[in-house]
Amino acid sequence: MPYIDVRDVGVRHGKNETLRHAGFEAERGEIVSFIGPSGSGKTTFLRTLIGLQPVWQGQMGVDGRIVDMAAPASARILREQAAIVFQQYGLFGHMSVLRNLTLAPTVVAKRSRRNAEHEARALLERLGLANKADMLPADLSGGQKQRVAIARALMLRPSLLLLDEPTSALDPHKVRDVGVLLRDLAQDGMTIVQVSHAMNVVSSLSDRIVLLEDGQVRAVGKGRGCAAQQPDIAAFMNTHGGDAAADPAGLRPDPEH
Amino acid sequence: MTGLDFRPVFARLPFLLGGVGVTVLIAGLAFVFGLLLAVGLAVVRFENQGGWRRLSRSYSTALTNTPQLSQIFAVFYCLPLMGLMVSPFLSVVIGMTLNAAAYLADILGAGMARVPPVYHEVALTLGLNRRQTYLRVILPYAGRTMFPALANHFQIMILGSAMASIFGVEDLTGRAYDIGSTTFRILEVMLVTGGLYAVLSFALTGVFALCRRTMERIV
Repeated sequence: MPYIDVRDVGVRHGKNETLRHAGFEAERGEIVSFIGPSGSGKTTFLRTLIGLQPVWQGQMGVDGRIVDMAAPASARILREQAAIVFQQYGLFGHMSVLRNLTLAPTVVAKRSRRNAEHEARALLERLGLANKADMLPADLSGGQKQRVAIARALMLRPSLLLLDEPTSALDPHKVRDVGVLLRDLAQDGMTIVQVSHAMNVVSSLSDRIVLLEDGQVRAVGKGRGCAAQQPDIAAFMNTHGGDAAADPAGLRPDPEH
Repeated sequence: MTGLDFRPVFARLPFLLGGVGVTVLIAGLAFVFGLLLAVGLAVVRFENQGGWRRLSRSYSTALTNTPQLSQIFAVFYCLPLMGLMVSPFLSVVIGMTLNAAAYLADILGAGMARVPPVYHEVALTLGLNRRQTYLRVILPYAGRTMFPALANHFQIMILGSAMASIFGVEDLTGRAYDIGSTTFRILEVMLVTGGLYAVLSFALTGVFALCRRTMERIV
């Protein structure tokens, strides 16, 4: 039985079905990428996995434990096992980097501040941010903000880490850094699901690629380095190779900034 | 300008200065309770559509478009009609609280609208409940941007609390009237009183600057 097993997810907006029978599997420590044209439901699918997007049907198995995603109580259960890094990061601007990391552990998990700060500092150190702990998010670069957002998500000790467009606002060498970091985390046993437009990153990083089209899973490619060779996925990447080639790092203008 | 004689006023300075405390107390109480009420009004406005939101908006519209003095009069005469005997001091505090809540809710509402929408989702996925989200994230973040506007309103309230004297409260202005009517040195006492208001107001500006710096260090 796969570690993560999502099946039959359906999302409706009025009469529109934005997601139909969507699903995927992943083993522990795998990196899964959702790709597809805009409006295909990638981000919606990602958001269902942490209960931010209500679904009318769907189930998710994590390590053999099955959650009915359509049940009202499912959001809380999903959030116990998953953490998400948003495209805009959403670091709290009125708190230091350290407090951003310790807020949930102290306020929600009721851990002692000292204990949480100890873990947070160790994590910042690992991500090369040791000297940024007392800074405000506004004083950080885009790449640093993202690593802080990842660190904040990791403080929740998730078994599933979700990232929405992690490379969209980064310059090329930062994109490689994030790739290295995600690979590192996966090696530690964390399962990672990302939505991405950066095709070269997707093909080099993913253990699985899920191609979505029109709210449905069109194709799944498996295997590190060869997931992108699945014919439908290769075809999609070729037609979208235009932007990957012209924009090799997947550096897209971010409409929010 | 030879007719000015400040000696009778200075002789009664301790009495006059006692009014400063009453003035600060009235404005302070009304500000604190007004702010609490305003948080409720602003959150209701932010979280709800339709009826509740309209009610909260109407409250602000009604109280920001009518004179504060009329509102205090309404409290002063209506509460006894409802069988609640309250002192003039309390009537003024209640009236000013209701008025402050209307203005402060507008200020808070504007501040909360400037909080990045993604904060709500981040808080949700971090596991914070609604109360924790407001207390730890939304209000402190908004508070930072709203601080100047809130401080400004408090200053207006300090000066506006002179209305209390109309209801016989012995605040700074009330005591100034007392001294004026016993010494007949109205102009002199009002000049001194005006000076005291100015000193008070400047001092508060300093206090606010200090508050702001401490706040930034703590959060």
